[in-house]
Amino acid sequence: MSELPVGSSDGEVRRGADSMRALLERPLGASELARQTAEVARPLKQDESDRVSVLLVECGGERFGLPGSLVRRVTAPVPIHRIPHRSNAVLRGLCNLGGHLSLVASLEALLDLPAATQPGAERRMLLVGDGAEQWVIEVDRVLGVARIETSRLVDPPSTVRAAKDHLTERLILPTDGSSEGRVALVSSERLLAGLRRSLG
Amino acid sequence: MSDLGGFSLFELFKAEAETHCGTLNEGLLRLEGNPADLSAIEPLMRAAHSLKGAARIIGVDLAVRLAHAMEDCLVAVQKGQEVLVPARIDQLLQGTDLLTKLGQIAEAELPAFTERNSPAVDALVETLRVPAGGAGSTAPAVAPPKPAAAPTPPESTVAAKGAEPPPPPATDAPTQASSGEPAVDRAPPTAPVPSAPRVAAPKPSAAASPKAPPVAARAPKPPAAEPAPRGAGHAAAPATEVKTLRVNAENLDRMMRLAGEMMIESRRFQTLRESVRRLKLELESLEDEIDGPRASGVASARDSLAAIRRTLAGHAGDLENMFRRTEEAATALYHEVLGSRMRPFADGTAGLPRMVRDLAKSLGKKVRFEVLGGTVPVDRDILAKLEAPLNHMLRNCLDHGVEMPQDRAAAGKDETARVFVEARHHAGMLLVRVGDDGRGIDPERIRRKVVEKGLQNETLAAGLSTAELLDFLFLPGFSTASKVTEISGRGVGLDVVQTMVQETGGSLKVETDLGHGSTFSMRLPITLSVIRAAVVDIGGEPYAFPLSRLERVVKVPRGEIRPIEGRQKFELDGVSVGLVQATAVLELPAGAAAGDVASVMVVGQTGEWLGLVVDRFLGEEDLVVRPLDPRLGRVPHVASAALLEDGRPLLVVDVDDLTASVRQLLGEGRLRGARSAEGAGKRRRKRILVVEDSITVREVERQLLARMGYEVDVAVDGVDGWNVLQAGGYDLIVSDVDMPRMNGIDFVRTLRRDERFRKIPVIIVSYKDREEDRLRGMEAGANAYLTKGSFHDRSFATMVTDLIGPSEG
Repeated sequence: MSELPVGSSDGEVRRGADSMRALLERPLGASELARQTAEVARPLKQDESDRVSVLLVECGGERFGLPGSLVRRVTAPVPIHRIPHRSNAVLRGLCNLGGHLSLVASLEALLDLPAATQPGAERRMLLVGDGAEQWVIEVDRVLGVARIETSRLVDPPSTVRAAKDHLTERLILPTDGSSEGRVALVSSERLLAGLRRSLG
Repeated sequence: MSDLGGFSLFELFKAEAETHCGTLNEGLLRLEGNPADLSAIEPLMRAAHSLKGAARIIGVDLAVRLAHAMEDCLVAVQKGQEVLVPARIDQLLQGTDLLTKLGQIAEAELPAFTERNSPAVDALVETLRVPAGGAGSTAPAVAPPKPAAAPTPPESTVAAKGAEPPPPPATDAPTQASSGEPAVDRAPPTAPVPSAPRVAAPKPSAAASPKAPPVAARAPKPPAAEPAPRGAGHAAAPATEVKTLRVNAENLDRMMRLAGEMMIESRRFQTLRESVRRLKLELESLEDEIDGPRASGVASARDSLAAIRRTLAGHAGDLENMFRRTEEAATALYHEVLGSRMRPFADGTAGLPRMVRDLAKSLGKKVRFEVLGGTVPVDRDILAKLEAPLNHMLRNCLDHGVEMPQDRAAAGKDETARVFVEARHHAGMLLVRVGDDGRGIDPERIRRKVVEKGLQNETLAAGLSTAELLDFLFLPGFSTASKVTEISGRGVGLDVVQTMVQETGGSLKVETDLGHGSTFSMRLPITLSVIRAAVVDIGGEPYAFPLSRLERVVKVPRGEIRPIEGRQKFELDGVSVGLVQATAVLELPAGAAAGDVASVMVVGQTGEWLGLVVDRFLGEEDLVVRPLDPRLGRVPHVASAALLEDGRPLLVVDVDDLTASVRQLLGEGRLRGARSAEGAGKRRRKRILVVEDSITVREVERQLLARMGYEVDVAVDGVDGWNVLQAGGYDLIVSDVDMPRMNGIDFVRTLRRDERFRKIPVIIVSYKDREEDRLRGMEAGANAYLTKGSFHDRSFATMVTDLIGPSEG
């Protein structure tokens, strides 16, 4: 970068301002442009420990976040077999996921949301939990995995109005910080406990 | 030393050394604490002996000598020729340490290790040969190897196998499987399915064969060769130890080849895929050409299209072939894997002849003992479970069944009695029989004993059938022997047999012919993991009925189904059979009644058939059963789950449980149904549920309680009881202990765990009157524990009123 012209009188100042403008408004060379662009595009340095991984899903007409650590696998839906005397609104039955027979539960029923009238093409099965606490739940759509800064997580209001509020651990604020479009982040423990209860 | 086929013998030795050294260490330490415990020596001798054999196979002379000296020393101790002094234990532990170390080095370090430790081993072997303060001073040196020492374990069989040259390249490898290889010890029966060897025959063309040997050699690693992972393994199952199995070597070989073949087959798909991709590109350019401005395009496009069609036709043929081969190989592999669970019956009976001989000798009886069906394949889990029951039944045979030689002669029989153990497959079940041609069992003697022991009063005992009387033999503490002997006669043992049979879902039968002998027959599932089943559609979902529990599958024209007394019935072999919709029993939404013909699964025993109407009969299949998720607990009417060939899950029906429920719906269900209507107008009477499998006792209890004014429902076992209980409204439960499917203790435990039933009083009524039985019942959660004799005095009636008061109120 060239040195700035420096002056002391009014005229010099004006001249200085002019040349300053000239400097700032001069067309950039290709390499300079590339360097500057890269600089601007460089993500702000962020500590990864300040972020949580969240799987954003759509289910029963609403959006939810599921803790990334909870979800083991996402697959296309497979047939479900009801369990006589046991299947209920939440406990839907058994399915074969990769050769393993897993219990399937309806997230809609657990969250008390309207069930999809007919499963859409984007419906997915999620294998959640592990070991003796493994479940398969279905969602209408998987929107993707997001790494959310913890600063965007706030406590939900203490008033519990619906089943889904009960399972909500935190709320994810939109990037603009507005209260519109907040997404509930489901608590792993409460979700698993809810599923466990469906076993009667 | 060889390192062929991708795994080394030394690895096998290491795995074995780890196991046996563990046994030695543990046992020696126990002996140190209690040197008199000679029973602890047996496993140590076996461990030393096995180590010797394993060391010999890998050719490590150092270890052979050491293990041999240790074995001799232990033999001497067991024979009482030497006393195990603390110094001796130290020496033996020292030897164990050396062998442990050997099992931890890498194969390459072996020569160095041998050189370094030779002097120490020589010295130790010398020390072990010199008797340490024992009785017989020269004994250890001359002590012969123990005759009954365990044969070299099967791992070494695998090892010996691995030492052979690797299978020659592709073309003759598969035929080798069917032509039979050099005999491995106890040549195993092949997999139960005849198709298995056949599939190995067709072979992919020469194009793929160069790939074969490395694939076959590298891919599979025998599980036996892998030392069980310890510690820093996967976090998946930290609590459960990894089970190491002994696998039949021939079986493993076949699986290896099949796996290799499948891999080759799957690679052939790749070339095909590549070609299809090219065709797609050609088609695209063809489209461009047709759309293009040049008129000549159409003609040349037509030519190209014809070429593509020819190529595609070729591919379709190739695909068909590949599919067929892959399917065959996959099926064969599947059956091999199933077969690898099987061991010849003889594996579980090796110790019996010796036991029978010794026992007969000590009793002064003459016995010819036979094991029949030694080659019959038996699931390894079942084989393990058979050991104790076979022992008990044989002891029982020899002690009670077989007469003294002079008595036999007097009865005009051969002085030498015949005792046999037999295994065979029968109607999809494994039938194991233990029999003798001795004196047989006198049912009248049991009847007298029943009365004598106060288990039943005379009137009731007089009404017991022979089958019911024979059941008493399986009661703990019940014995008809006039004198108690060391061998049996204390009534201990036969209940072990019954428990085992019940656990595996089998059945037990005693046949006896007074004066001519008795036979105990156990009908067991052939394997605990595979069943042959009829697959049906119920409510739009697949269910399986094990063929062993299915009487028949019939198609009944709907016109032949008639309502009789308000229930659906049809005629089968001149017998009127009640029909129930399977969906109704399983509490599923009723499916649409399709077609003019109903598919009916006939279950139950002859003369007591029941028909279950299912949507559709889909076919027969071998199913690998899996337990239901333990979180579900017991699911009524469902025994287990399995996967269909297309990967869909299905549920395996618990036919006995289902039959019991159907019977209620058809028969006793009427009583229950009637009761609810009748109860509406009257004051509520107290209700009691009686759970008891013996019809005689059940009836006694029912009548007694009914006379007292209570409403009584009955159930035939714990599972049935549990199902009945779901209706709710019971004030008291009276339960037996010994019942099929779910015994009384488990039943009481189950209901005590359930919030709904936690507070209902329970009286256990059992023939078992020992204090530990009573404690077991009370611990399970019973409020009272009475013996069946209590019906005769007032104690049962008193207990009932004590617990719930009079019938009304």
